[in-house]
Formats: sequence, C-alpha cells, structure tokens
Amino acid sequence: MKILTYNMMSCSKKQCVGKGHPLKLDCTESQTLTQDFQLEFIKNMIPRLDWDGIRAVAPMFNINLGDNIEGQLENEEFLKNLFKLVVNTKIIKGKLTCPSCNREYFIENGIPNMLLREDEIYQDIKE
Amino acid sequence: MSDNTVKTKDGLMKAEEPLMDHFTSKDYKDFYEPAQDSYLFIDSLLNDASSLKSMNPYICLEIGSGSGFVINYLAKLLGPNNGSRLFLATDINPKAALATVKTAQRNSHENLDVINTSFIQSLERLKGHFDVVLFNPPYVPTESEEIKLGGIAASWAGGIDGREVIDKLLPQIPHILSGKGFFYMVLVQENKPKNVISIMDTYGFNYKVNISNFLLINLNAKNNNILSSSVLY
Repeated sequence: MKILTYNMMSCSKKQCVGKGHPLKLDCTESQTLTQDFQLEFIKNMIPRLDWDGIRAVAPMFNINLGDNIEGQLENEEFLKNLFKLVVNTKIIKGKLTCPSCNREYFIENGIPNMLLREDEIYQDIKE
Repeated sequence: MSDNTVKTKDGLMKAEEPLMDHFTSKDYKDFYEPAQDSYLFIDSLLNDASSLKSMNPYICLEIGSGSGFVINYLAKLLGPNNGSRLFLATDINPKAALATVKTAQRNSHENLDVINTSFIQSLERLKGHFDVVLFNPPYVPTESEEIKLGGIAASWAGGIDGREVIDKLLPQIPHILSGKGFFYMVLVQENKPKNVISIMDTYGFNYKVNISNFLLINLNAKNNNILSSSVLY
C-alpha cells in the first residue's frame, strides 16, 4: 500500500468519523519504486492530503520535506520529494493505529485489514 | 500502438486481458473465478475506452475485486501509468484481497493498492474523488442469512432479489463518485434493473445499459453529457 493510500485512510469505526485520522503508522517492511515524477498527478492529489500524516511519516522513509510544507506547493524539488514519498513508497508490513480510539489495524502483504469485528459494528449502532 | 494493446482480426484495438496463470482451479475455491459476467464487464470498459481515457481518471476503485481480473484490465486499458493514476480495490474476503495483489504483481501493476474492507469503509475521506467505480456485486438471489457466510459466498450471495448488498451501496454512489465520475455495475434480471435505474435517476444519474445474459449499467452524473441516456432492454 502506498503512503498516498495510507494518508487518505481513517479508522473504520463510526464513532471515529472526523477524528480517526491520520492513523499512526508503524512500518516494519517497505518497498521503494522508481517511477518517474508525475507533476500533474501529484498536484491533483495535494488538496486531498493530510499534512499532519505526511509530516509524521516522511522522516521514517528518510525524506526531508522541509519545515514549511504549505509554502512549497509550487516548488518542483519539493513536489518530487513528495512524489517519492507518497507514490513511490509502499508499506508491505506494519500496523495502523487510530489516534482517537487506539484500535489497531494490521498490514500484511501490503494489505491493511480494516474489517471490524461484529461486536465493534454493534458498538457503532449503540452509540 | 502502445505495448498494452493488441490488434484483433477486424483491426480493432483491444486491451490485453490481465495474465491470470498464477492461479489454479484450487485457488478459485476461495475467491471468484473470472466468468461470463467478468468478460461482459471488461467488454463494456473496452467500449468506453475513449471516453474513459479522455476523462483522464486519477483515482479508480473496484469494490469487491475478487481475483483482481477487472481492475487490472482497466489499468491495462488506460495505458502506461508510472504513477500517474491510483487504482484502489477493496474486498471483504481476505483471500480475494490477496488474490488481487497477486494479480497486480503478475501483471506488473505497481499502482494498485488493495484494502481488506467492506465497500469503502476506511476510505470515506476519498468520497467525491473516485473518477471510476467498478462493482460486480453479489447479485444471486439467496436467503438473507447467506450473505453473512463470508469467504467465496460473499462474491455471489445477494439476499432477497439479489439486491441486499447492492441496495447498501446505491445511496452512497452519488457521494463516492467525483463530478465527472463513471460507475459500472453488473446486474441480472432478478435484481429488477428497472427499479435500480429509477433509484439512480432520483439521484440524478444518466445511464447506459450493456446487455448479454447480464446487464451492465454505466452511470454518470447528469451534468456531464459524455454518455447518452438510453434503455436497451
């Protein structure tokens, strides 16, 4: 799963709507792709990104985006680094944790398991 | 001619089908094997190839991707990617989710991510941003209880009129699709497709129907006139 997909995800629980992101990432295995920079795509993804989530994970993959992210959205060097992080970095194994309810979701073979147990769904209906 | 298309005898360009030789009949006990409805699905995508390409989708989603045959076909159809589009697939069946990943690997698609979830649960923040949504639902009429069996039953058990799973998704479609988005769904006559269309009509969708033994409905918002509205059955 790309960092891009991870960045757009949130906790599955209904009571966490609006506060179940960015999920905390623990990554134990990752993969780096070498695809060429795609300016149009990355510019199109920018309004959808959660910058707190980007700031939290960039250092894990040794990507330096600088301090002033919002001021650099037209800077091509910045966008190239951002592309490297969100499109060319994949999480293969790890764990996502909801910042609101601390529910943990495991990632295996690049696939996050976001399914809730029956009692957790019932919990949503009750609340 | 790009390397992802082949020329048929009648000179038409056709996208290559995804390689599926990494699975055996044993694997298909755990997830849905591409069948007649899957082929109808890819034919409909091929028919719409030029409008899909000119719409230039950034994010494409398949709900219930099973083996991954259809979403990988769409990825091939849209041409070389190199990180210029994001493909997402969800499946409630963990074995199907893994199968979709394996099909992406077999076909060297590095921009397809798979999430083990129900519908678009955990992807709600992307509502309104999906440019293409594909759905080959569990449409077989069954007892309601059969829906909960899980595993491969999730690929076919549709409850009363085969509509119970379909009807959970329909009201979400206007919120999931982007303004220019296309939604493709397989239906059978038992699903009362005219009723499905009248529901989608109240949400403000145009539709186009592709017929064989199955119906394949392509819907998009009425403010976008790429597709004409017609009933073919």
